[in-house]
Amino acid sequence: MPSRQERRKAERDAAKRAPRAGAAGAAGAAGAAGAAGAAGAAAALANLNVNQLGDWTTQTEDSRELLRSLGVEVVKRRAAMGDGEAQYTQGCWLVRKAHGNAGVLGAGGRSPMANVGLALSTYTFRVAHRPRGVVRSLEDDDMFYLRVPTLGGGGRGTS
Amino acid sequence: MALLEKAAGQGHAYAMYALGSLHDSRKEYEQGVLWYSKGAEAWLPKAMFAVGVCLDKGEGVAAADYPAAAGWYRRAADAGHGDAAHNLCSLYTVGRGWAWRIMPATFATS
Repeated sequence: MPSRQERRKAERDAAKRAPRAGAAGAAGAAGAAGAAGAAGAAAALANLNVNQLGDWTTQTEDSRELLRSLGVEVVKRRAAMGDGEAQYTQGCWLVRKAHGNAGVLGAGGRSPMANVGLALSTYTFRVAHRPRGVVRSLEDDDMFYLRVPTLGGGGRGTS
Repeated sequence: MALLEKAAGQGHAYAMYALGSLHDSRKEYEQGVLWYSKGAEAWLPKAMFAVGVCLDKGEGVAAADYPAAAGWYRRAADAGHGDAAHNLCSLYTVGRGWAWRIMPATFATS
């Protein structure tokens, strides 16, 4: 299995070859349309081996990102080849399509429990009582106090 | 959904979370928790948070388990999930009658 450096080098080489293939096509009898086709095919081949984050081992949270950068056809082909990232992208796309883009994925899911939310004051908010007679380090102290920015004066208030 | 399951089968944590979210939206909470748990085991903070919320609200599980919920909130908060920190803080302050008993244990295991 090629290393990451080897794969990246291959991707760079493929990307370099793409314009040359396009130029060769333009010089040939095929004309401008043929050149564009050759360049497009070479670019698609280069794209098959790399996602927008550099390699196919990286997982992307935003499934639209892959569609934007590679296009539907490449993603479909990649998914059919069994690539997890592309399957995720296409799967999310189909779910969105089925649900009318109703936010089932992505921004959906669990949200903070607003019904038990805290009204934070602009001063230091006392979260818990410090047991008396126990010597605590600064780190321990920080666990017991939630620091929030103050409007004026700044710094950590006294509790 | 089949494609998402395939992606999740290959270890795609976001796909696991997406499946959990999908089941959740259909009110299939048990399946939702299952996929969230898989995402949480893959160290996805939002999945850890989701597992915490399910345990906190008692959805998709036999009964609400506040100490376990606090544990997942804590892990997600440690990974930088702000909402998890918020809910953990809520558990400690609002308490629902258990906070003082489990707090030392939660800190000890974190």
